[in-house]
Amino acid sequence: MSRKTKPTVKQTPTVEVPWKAILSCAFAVAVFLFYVLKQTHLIIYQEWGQMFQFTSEYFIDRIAVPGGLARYLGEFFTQFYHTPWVGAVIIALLATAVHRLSWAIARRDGAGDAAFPISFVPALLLLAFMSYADTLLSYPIAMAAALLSCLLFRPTRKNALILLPYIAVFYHLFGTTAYIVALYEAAMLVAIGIREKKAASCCLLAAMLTAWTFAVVWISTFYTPYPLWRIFKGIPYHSVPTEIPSLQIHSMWITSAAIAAMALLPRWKMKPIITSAITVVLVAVGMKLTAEKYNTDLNYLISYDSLVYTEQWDKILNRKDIFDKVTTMSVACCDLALAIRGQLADNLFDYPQMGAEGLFLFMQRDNLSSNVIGEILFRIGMVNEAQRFFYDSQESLFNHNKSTRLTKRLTEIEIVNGQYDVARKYLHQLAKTLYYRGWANEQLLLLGNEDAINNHPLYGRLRSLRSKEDYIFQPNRLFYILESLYKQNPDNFLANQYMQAAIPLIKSKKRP
Amino acid sequence: MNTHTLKAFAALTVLLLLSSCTDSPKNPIGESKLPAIYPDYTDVTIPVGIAPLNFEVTGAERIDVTVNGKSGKPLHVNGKRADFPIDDWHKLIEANKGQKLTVTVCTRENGKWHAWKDFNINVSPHKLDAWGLTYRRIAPGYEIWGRMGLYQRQLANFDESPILENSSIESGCMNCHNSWRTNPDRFVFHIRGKHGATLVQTENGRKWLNTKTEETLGTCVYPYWHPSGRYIAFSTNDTKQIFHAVNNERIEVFDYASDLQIYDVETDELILSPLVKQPDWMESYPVFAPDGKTLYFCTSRKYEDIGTDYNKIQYNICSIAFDADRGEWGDHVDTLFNAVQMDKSAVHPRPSYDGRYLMFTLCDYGCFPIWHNESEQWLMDLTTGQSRPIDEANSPRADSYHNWSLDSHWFVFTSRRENGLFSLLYLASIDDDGRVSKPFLLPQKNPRRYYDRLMFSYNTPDFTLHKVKLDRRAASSEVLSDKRTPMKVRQGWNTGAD
Repeated sequence: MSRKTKPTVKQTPTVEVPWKAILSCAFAVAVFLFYVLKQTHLIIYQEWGQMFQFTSEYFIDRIAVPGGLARYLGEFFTQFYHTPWVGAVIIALLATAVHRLSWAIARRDGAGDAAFPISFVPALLLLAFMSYADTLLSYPIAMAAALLSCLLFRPTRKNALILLPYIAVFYHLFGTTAYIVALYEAAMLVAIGIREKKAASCCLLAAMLTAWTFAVVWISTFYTPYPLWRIFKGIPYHSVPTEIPSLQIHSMWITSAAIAAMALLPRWKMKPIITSAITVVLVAVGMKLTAEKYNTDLNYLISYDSLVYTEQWDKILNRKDIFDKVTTMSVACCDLALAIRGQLADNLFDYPQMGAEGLFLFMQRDNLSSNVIGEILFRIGMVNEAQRFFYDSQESLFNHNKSTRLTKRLTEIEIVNGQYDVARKYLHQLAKTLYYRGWANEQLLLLGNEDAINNHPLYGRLRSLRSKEDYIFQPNRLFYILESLYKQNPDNFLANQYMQAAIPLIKSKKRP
Repeated sequence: MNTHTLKAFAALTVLLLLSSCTDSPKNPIGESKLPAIYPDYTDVTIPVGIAPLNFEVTGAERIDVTVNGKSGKPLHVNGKRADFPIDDWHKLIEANKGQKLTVTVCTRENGKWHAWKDFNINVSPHKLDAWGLTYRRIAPGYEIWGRMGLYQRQLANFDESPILENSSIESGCMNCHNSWRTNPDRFVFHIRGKHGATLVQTENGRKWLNTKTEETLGTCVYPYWHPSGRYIAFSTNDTKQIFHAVNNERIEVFDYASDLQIYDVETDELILSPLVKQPDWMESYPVFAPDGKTLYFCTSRKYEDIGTDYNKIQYNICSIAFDADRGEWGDHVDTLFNAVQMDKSAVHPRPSYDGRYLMFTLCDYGCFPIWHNESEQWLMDLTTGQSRPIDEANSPRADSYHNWSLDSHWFVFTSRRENGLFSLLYLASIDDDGRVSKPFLLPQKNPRRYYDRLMFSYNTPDFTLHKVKLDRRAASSEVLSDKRTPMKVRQGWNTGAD
């Protein structure tokens, strides 16, 4: 008797939806859109706050300090912020890399798909840290490098020993994101040790690895010219050392903890659609909370400064928040925009004012205000005074970077003043950059050519506007300075605008 | 192809390769002019032991340089610039002490070689008694400072190292450093800002002083050691800045007020005298004579309305006695150099350590001559009282702050002759007859590249007998700890009643 066989049913092949990849891509797009639509001012701010040069001296200067390679690479990529959407792409790619690397590490070490939403936590923390305008691109690069190191070194007892010299090298190249490596590897070693009933040896290795990491940092305090606390926090990630947010260190240990948690959590079975939904909700809430962190006073001022820098005068005047959030800086930027449009005298009180202080900002001495004051004075023809504000603004960059924007302005002023030797020095610096070398080489050809400079639309005009008589600059004599400038050259319509505005503002004690 | 041919071909190839590497001058076109070298080291006088005077020729594709002396093996270099091997250079200089070296330069331009007129480098018979230089480097800014530090540079080579950088003290401002007769075993410098202090380092260790007291104007600023090593003369200055509008002027730095005081290292006392603490006068830049019995300083009448009277502030150089045994100021002030009569201002007095000369800076007005294009160095012969401008060393741009080497035959000074903004260091010698040599720019391995890329000025240079030893890490912690030694004050002046 023959055995009956069941008829074979043709099965439709199931297509596995790469839902994790789709979510990662969606995240990348969301970050890109967030930056390109809402945060271009931060991108612009970071770009002009440095002057990356393709020279060996620049490289050596950076690499000489722990974390130097992260700083060098960060500044290399930051130069591309010159085109803001490219900057948004770079940030989106780095944030997504942090997320994907976190997932790859956790997956390798045992994470189930249900833990996928947690893989966005390090990236969200990173974005939250980057809400501080002075957080540098060196940090996401160093973070990604640390995560890559975790991926390269599976947490085993053998690798714990190899990591000892590796962490020393890593620290010197990428800085204190070495803590991420050490903490993750140590946490996993302890967990593995408990699981494999080798707790004692694994705990010892974990403790040794952690202690060694801190020892490497401590040893560097003997040859790194920074205070102890700054070295332990990490040097190149934030440009204002006395204001390093605690989120810098918290994002490191939370990243390690999040990845360890993903790897050690039970592998719950969950349908991809559920996991995706949880991911979307978590990331959406996370991004919303993160986005709110970007609404800081400093970022608000940066937005005005960037509009002045990029000469978007109508955008300043059409800002929706121009009446809601009034500061001396926003008033000064607004008044400059009005003056450029020839409307300052007529429409002065149609916009918020803060007396004469709002017109020129002289009482404020932070580098953003100095930029705006410099731009006002530069355009009026008070080039020597503008030079002082631009120079001081550059010197006030806490990480001692040179600035493309400010060096360019200083060069222009030196050319106007006929100080060609100094101009040449600045131009040689700019000629070593990617985006400014063309401009620098054009100006070098002008040096010494008085006819060309006098006929230049910018230099010639400023030469005609600047004062022929010396005076000592005193803010309380500004009206008389403006009057003198206007008398010397009635074409100086900006001086005239400001002079006409100064009288009612000095008399007015109105505050919005 | 047989072996012989192969060998000949190989030899020819090697020869061709070598010749393209060295590319020596062939049938150069003779030129009657001096080569346009940078830096300009033609006819300078150098001490034995100085680092090589590397240079390049503007516009040259390649240069070929030979340095010949009466003794020693000549130096020959061929390349994009003259980069002399350090050891060979030192041997040649040493062998020709007191003699001159002849430098022959050929350049290749547009494929053609040119042979330029030879120039000399004179090797001084006078030893430069110093290991190196100390100085501050800071950007030539206005009211805000960024990166800066105190550095030391060995004169025999190009090695520079930081003494202390402001990155390690949370960006404080540091300057006004001085060694005891160029010996850094006793060293002082001042820090301004959030963690302000005055460091006094001696064989007994470091002290961080809080030099501000109720009785004095402010903190101690410009220091100068007494030859005994027991005292330091300081000024205390209320310094401000104002800013010019026109292109050839930038900043005016001036004092609203300033006084002098002497710090006793052993007792932590500030010794005051009303003669150098006058309400209607300003006293600044104190320095001791090498015998320690006299203190030189500058003094000017005070003006209230700086905005209009800034160009009336003019300093004379004066002197007052000092009794080191009793720690007392003298009872009267003498005028040594009356710059006001010339409608000028004289500042930065610096006596040579042999007591023969007093160097100072003369400018139209004010006390910060580096911002004055017209400022220049002057030399007073203390044996005759005669003063003259050091025309051999001065330039059309600002020449300012200077210090002597211990042997008193060399001095270093800052000058803005290169571009009018960035101060660089120049060294010059003075012979037994008071003739000053043409100054030479502090040598660098690749001077064009180095100085073009340097975005800092050199300030307050001084010679140092040996390397300054400062434990930077410990110093940084001490500065940031804000633990300071307070001052006591005593009036210490000879009333003449004795």
